Amino acid sequence: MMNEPKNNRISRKEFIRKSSAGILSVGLLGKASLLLSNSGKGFKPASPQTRFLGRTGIKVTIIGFGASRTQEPSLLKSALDTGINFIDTGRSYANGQNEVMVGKVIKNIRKDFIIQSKIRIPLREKGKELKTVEVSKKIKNLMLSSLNASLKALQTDYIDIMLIHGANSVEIINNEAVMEFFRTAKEKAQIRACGFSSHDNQVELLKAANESQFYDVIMVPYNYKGSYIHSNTGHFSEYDKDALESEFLKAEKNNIGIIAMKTCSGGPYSPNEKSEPSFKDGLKWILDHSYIHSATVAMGNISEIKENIQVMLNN
Amino acid sequence: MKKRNLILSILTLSLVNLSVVNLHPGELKSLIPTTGELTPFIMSEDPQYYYPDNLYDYINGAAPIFNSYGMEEMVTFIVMNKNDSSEIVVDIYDMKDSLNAFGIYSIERSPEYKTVSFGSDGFHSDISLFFWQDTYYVKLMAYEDLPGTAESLTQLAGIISGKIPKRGSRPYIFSIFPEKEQIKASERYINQDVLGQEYFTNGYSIEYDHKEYSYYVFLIQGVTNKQTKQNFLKYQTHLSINDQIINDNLNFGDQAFIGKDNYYGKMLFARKGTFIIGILGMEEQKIAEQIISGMLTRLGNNIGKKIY
Repeated sequence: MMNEPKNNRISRKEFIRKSSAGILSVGLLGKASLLLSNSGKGFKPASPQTRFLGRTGIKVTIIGFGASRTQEPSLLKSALDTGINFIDTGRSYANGQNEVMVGKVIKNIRKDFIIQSKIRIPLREKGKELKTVEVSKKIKNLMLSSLNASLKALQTDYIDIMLIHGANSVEIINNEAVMEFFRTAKEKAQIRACGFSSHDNQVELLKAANESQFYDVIMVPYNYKGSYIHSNTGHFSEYDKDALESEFLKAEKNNIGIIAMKTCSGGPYSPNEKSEPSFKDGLKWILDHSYIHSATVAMGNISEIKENIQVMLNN
Repeated sequence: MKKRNLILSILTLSLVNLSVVNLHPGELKSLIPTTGELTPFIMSEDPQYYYPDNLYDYINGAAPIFNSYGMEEMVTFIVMNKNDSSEIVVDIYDMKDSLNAFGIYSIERSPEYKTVSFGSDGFHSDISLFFWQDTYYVKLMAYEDLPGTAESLTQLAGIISGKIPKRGSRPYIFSIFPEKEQIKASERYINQDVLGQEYFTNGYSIEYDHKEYSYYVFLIQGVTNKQTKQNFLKYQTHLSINDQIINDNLNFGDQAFIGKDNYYGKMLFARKGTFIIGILGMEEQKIAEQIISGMLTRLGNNIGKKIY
């Protein structure tokens, strides 16, 4: 694994702190855009930018709230008050308590929001154990158990998008037991769309998904750099950007919904020599590609929400 | 000269070898049960170690929150019960200090889980058992709920808990909070972005059950009076911009206001020295004031000091 020198890495928090003086004094797009109010007379962006997630019929804001970094319901509510309608969580975040937090916030306003959650298939190695009928049955039971736990935690009877969390092999996504689970969950209206997220191996998996056309939504790291160093963990990953974009174009033709993640982990971006690099421009670069339907950004505090919603207002 | 270079080379190689050996530091390794200690279990997968910069490879998006609580190292392995071939995944996190170990534990638990008496505190569901002890957070997870699963989890928890020399205890600062109406197992330590505000760190909260609704008590411990005062003002300004201040003309503590949070509802916030206390979701102002007064009295001479 290649590591960039640490002194080239600027964390998102540091970046916001350094540029915060300008942000807070000027108010970015004006005071109105920063108001996160529930007062009833509070401001909400007139028309937050949205896109349809492929063939799913699900309309999501181009910025989604990645809930993994917070357990604070007030923060999530603030994000939703800006007009963001798309929430990304996962069964394994905080031992299921992240879903509980999301459920508390949206329980009385469920129909207004799109929830995406994830199921981990607990295998230690790439598809190694998926070969026997007995294990396949075990997988289906585990996934069902996880789905039921998610529905209960989220206080809902349906989840809009359910993903396999961190799929890393074609064997997993093409496994018949996994696909059967998703088919059944859709028939029972427990989920509206299915898919997978992948942190590594995304080109290979996207290729397989384009071939099978089974999955409705795919979530992968994507940014201008073609690589990322995760600002919190230092995890480095890179991918063949050209090959990935070629698969994105095929996915677009196949009407598959594509969600970008790790959008800020490639660092701030400048579209030209005159502009200061910013995470906002990094997000814009991603969303300028029509095959990307939304970018989920993990947000931990109000400052990060304020920065990210600019893209939703301006794009 | 040749002899000197040779000696230097040997010394360099020795140092390099030492650093390679110390890639898996000894402490966590010492918590892994030996073959004899594991009975009736056997190791079915060798221990794998993860660190802040590669924890992501193991638990993906769940990693950042562990790192934010200062995780130093973790080890994971799988054991199998020889009696029924069922497997349990063991994750042991070294959180470097007991406050952070408690903190990450508190984020992952729920009042709905059943408590267990392992380590400093623990809880279990049908197929998992988690506990924290000293600077460690231990997670035992079975794949499925078989007849012997609960017993296996309990047995294994006892084995691992017995390997951790110290115990640890609930952070003292929670004794400042009122006991009445407290919801059991709702204490939380939030080390950063308390209430979603990046300038608020070192926060403690407990949930309470009052009549037909619940409310929360938060205590945020600042570093200096000046900084705490500034942070209080920042929060007040943030709420003011969003039309969420109801009354800031209060004669209470060093600073105080009544506001409305977009999720919690009505809140009373007050500062005394380096402590900020917030009562969120309590409709009755008098009760909120009494809670804060009581906490400030119990804080007593600790105002201005750092306590855990």
